[in-house]
Amino acid sequence: MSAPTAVQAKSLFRALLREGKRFQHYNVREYTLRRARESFRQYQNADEALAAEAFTKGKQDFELTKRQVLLYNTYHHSTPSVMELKQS
Amino acid sequence: MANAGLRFVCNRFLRGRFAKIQPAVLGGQAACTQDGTAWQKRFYVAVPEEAPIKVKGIELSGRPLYLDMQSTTPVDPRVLDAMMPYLTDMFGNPHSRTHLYGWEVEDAIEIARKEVADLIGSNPKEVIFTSGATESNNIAIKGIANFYKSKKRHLITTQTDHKCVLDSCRALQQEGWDITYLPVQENGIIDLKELEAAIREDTVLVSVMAVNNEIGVIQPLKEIGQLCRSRKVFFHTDAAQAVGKIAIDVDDMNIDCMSISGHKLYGPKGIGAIYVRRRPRVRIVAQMNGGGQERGMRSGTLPTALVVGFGAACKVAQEEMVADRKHIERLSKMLYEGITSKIEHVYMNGDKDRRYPGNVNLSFAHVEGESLLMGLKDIAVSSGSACTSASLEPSYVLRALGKDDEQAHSSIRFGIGRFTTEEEVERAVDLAVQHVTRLREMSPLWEMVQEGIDLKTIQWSQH
Ligand SMILES: Cc1ncc(COP(=O)(O)O)c(C=O)c1O
Repeated sequence: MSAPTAVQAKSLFRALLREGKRFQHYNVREYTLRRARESFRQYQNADEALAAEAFTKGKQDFELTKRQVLLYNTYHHSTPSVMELKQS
Repeated sequence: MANAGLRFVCNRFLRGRFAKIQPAVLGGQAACTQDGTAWQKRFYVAVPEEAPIKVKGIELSGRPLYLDMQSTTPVDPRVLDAMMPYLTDMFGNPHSRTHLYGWEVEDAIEIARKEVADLIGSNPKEVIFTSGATESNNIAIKGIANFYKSKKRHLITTQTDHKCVLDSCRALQQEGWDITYLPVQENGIIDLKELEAAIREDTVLVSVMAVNNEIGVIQPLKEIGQLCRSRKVFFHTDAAQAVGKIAIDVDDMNIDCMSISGHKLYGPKGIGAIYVRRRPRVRIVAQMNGGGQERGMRSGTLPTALVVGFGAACKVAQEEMVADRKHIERLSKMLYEGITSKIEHVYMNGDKDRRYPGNVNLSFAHVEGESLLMGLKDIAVSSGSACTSASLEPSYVLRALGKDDEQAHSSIRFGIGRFTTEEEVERAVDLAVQHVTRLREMSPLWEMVQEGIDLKTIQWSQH
């Protein structure tokens, strides 16, 4: 296990954001995006061992997100959250 | 086909909401995608003409934003991900000893047991799976009392404990046990001196909840544990609202027995655990007889998927505790300051500092709680008649704090959690301010208050 290059890290980060945005569920989507941003910021300047660990975890999270996007969207409620309606 | 399907969707769920949308858009390709992503995205821009859903006579424009995290929490996607294989391929009975189906799920259960144990600093052998905190509380209170009944006949709990603790105590009272229901101070926290004075020669158990479900105050667990240990009395705590949210260590706090619930920490409903200390040993009489699972303390086939989900929820809670805490503290502050900076006569119930910040229980003086709840229909929250929401009885917890019925009735509990967003809190602040102001403007009482007639105010500002 070695630390990711900056390009690898950035590409994983972008992939995670892209996938997270596909959640139709308002709260799950916003949480996924928030945590992705927070953790990538947190590990940006981490030492090699920590960065490697975070990268492995990030890749697992990405795979998990892909599965859960499928599952959540399959059973998504058709009535939108009030947070997604224009405020009148 | 697309049109027929769409018409069905429209009629079924959306009523006249999209009346303004042009047929051209409706008939378009996007309308018939299977997962619905495309058409939903497009239709959000449409301004609803009328409320699309009507539930229990209330018209809602959409699914309310959820601020009721003490009632229950959503299942975390990481939890669901861990559970799925045990609802599909791995369906075996964890107690089957003769084949792979049993072995593979037994392993999963032992991993989950360790995940729960790690979160509370215990040995996995001390974790017994149950259906939830209600069952755990029943086992702890009735089970311990029954085991030691030849020598002991007294139990202590508090007036603000959960209904299932209080009702278990009532049941024992019928069997001849003496119960002390300790009062709490105005801030919702017990007085340790009163607890000490209440302990008798024949006291077997002190049961004090960790974090209160209605007002969020944290009881001094470590001090209570120390006191109980020194007086050789068992200490049980209902930690349904605490585990996964605040740091709990059963050894450090001298906890002998503890109840945990899965669905309060982003796990599934119908699963929980009771921690039962092995050294010094706590003995209990099982409340469920049968196959002798869970070391004889709780018979019945374990629900593998729920157990695995509960374990995953504990693991995630441990990993996310710092991040959750930071997020929740920030939103909690934003909610409290947002509301109190814009309207006066709003009081927080329970101690300001010794609390779990994800629970913000506010009393809005001079408004009627039920009217306020109706006004806030776009927010899912609970009122001062919280837990037993079916009744309009004022909350016994707020009463125990010395609040009068009016304060209890005008209180609202906002529950913030891992999945709450900043935008939701901002919206909640706006709506609360708007509706409290509106209701007060309609109230003759408020007019009197504004004129300086303070007979009511004197009573209400005694905080
Ligand atoms: C403090 C407390 N104890 C017990 C319970 C009951 O938990 P469960 O739903 O797991 O039985 C709850 C939740 O309603 C609670 O808040």
